[in-house]
Amino acid sequence: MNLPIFYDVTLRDGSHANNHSFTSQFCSQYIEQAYKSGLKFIELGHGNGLGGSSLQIGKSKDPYILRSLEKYINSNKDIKFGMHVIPGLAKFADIKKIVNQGISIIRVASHCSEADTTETYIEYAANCGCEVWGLLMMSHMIKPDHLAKEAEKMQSYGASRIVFLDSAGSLTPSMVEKICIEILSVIKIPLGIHTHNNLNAALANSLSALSNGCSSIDVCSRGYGAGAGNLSLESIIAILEKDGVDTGISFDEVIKLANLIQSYFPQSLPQVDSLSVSTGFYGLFSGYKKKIIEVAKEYNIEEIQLVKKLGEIDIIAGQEDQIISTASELSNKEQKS
Amino acid sequence: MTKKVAILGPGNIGCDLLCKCLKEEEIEVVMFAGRNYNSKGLRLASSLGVPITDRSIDAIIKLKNKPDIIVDATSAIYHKSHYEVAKKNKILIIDMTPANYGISCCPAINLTECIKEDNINMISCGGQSSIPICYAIKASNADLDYIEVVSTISSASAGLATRRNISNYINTTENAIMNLTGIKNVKVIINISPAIPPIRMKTSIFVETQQIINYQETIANIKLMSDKTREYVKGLKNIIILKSFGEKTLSQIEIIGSGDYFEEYAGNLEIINCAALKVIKNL
Ligand SMILES: NC(=O)c1ccc[n+]([C@@H]2O[C@H](COP(=O)([O-])OP(=O)(O)OC[C@H]3O[C@@H](n4cnc5c(N)ncnc54)[C@H](OP(=O)(O)O)[C@@H]3O)[C@@H](O)[C@H]2O)c1
Repeated sequence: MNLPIFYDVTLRDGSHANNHSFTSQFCSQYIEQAYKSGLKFIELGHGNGLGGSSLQIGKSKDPYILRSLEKYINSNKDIKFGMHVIPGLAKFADIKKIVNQGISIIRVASHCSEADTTETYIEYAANCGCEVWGLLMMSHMIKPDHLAKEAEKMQSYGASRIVFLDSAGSLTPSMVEKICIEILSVIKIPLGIHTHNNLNAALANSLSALSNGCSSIDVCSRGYGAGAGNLSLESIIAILEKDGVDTGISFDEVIKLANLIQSYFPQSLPQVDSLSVSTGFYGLFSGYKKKIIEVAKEYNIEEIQLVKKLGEIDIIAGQEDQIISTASELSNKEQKS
Repeated sequence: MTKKVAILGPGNIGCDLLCKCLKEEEIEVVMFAGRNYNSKGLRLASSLGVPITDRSIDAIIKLKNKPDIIVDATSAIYHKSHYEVAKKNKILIIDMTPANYGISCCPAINLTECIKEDNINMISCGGQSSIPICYAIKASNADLDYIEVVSTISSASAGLATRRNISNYINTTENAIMNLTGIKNVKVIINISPAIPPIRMKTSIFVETQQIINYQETIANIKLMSDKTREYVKGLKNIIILKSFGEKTLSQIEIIGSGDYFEEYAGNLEIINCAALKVIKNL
């Protein structure tokens, strides 16, 4: 195994956990400690990435956070800062702005079967001089060979790395193995994985990815991310170091990072509770957990009933308003019967 | 009087519009133009007895049976040059691409103003479905200064040009909403869903609850503007007229297609094409 890239998404995915309320003061403290730990890649931004701040998904408490962090980003040359960009939420002008603020990795993401929506965005970001990765979200929703074709498209648009996201925490280690084999048989660029812990499998899936040729893994301190959370940085470092891999990252320092999260956000630390396991099993986007609780309560229906129905209609990320329509339909039906 | 129309761009929008035009007695489609004879759209048109070409707008301007109107259903990057050619040849152009170049037209709001222009932009499917409602909400709540529009369309109905135009789509739709409603801050989101069976086009309009001062009047106004839009888009269906969830309030609609080219899920093709037909009939 070659030494993987540890791509830290805590300050992005974690914002799902605290309703997009990271402050610039917290972020700068986090970045400083991350630097001491030896991390080289940090993602910033709203939980759904650039342009995600909205009534539909959740407004960022501080929309100007990047502006406050700008000096910080530009003086920290050893760390590359990235951002998640979903066409449909962000537009080109938004990309230009963050590049001027010092973001150097643009991770252009689409639903796994819709890679052709990323073509113009990948080109645009590459023309801005960025390193551009192509991300396939909700990758449990299509077969591995189909996923590989979509990855190949992103490569042809100019992506320099592909990452497949288990956005629902729905994959198993053997599924991850198949996906890695299929994708790596068609692309010439490196591959990475992003996991969620709904089925308690973020760690097992990430290890499977590493032993099947992936060379980057997304990590979160204390697993702090959407829904049941993500792969915990400190766990993967501990395991790799114990297995004799020199990760280049200090275990003692990442424990301080995890402590930072624990002390600031004791109320929103991720848990693998029954609802998380259910959304994982039925394949729903991890960021939907809170919306499901809120909407099921509003319409007085059972959470699990809503989860199953949303799974049946193949809801993808970004469709928060569909949770409302489906709940409204279910409650109408119940009232009639 | 019969209106002579040439349709440029034989993709999803172009084909659905062709089917709709052929049902109208007062419209004659003089040409359906693409750039490749193998395109599915050109074969469809030819089987329907419509003159076709693979030489794009160049063939249209050489027609003896000169059109009054060219409908540009290609991709945003080509629109400016198509407009210039049309202008030189004194042909009015209706733009279905989100090129943000001609006057933004939502028939329920500004039809009379638009038909005086030589380049009429039909904004987008999300724009056509949301603008009458945004307008209604603003009319009842003068201080409203933020609105958000989220549309979801089926993957099956989103052609390659649509997928390449997403950033243009957001820009054009946000600008049109601002200009046609006077709301200062607008955010537009678009989702493309691969669900099977395909999802019906849906648009949700969100505002901050505290900005809705006149709740009952807002409801009445939304109904009024929806009825006005239904005069030319029969498939518009209000699913939720107005409902508050804590700090946010939403209005939600679906557009049911008439099944001309795709099945009824393709409300996105339906609404922009019905809006364009409304313009054509009023020219
Ligand atoms: N689908 C929607 O929901 C929707 C709704 C509202 C507006 N729109 C807008 O409508 C336009 C068409 O969208 P679509 O979904 O129909 O995409 P599409 O299926 O890709 O259709 C575009 C068509 O235009 C043709 N074309 C491109 N450049 C041309 C040129 N210079 N001359 C002649 N033909 C040309 C393409 O031909 P080739 O096949 O040879 O490339 C293709 O047949 C886009 O601008 C889109 O943004 C789409």
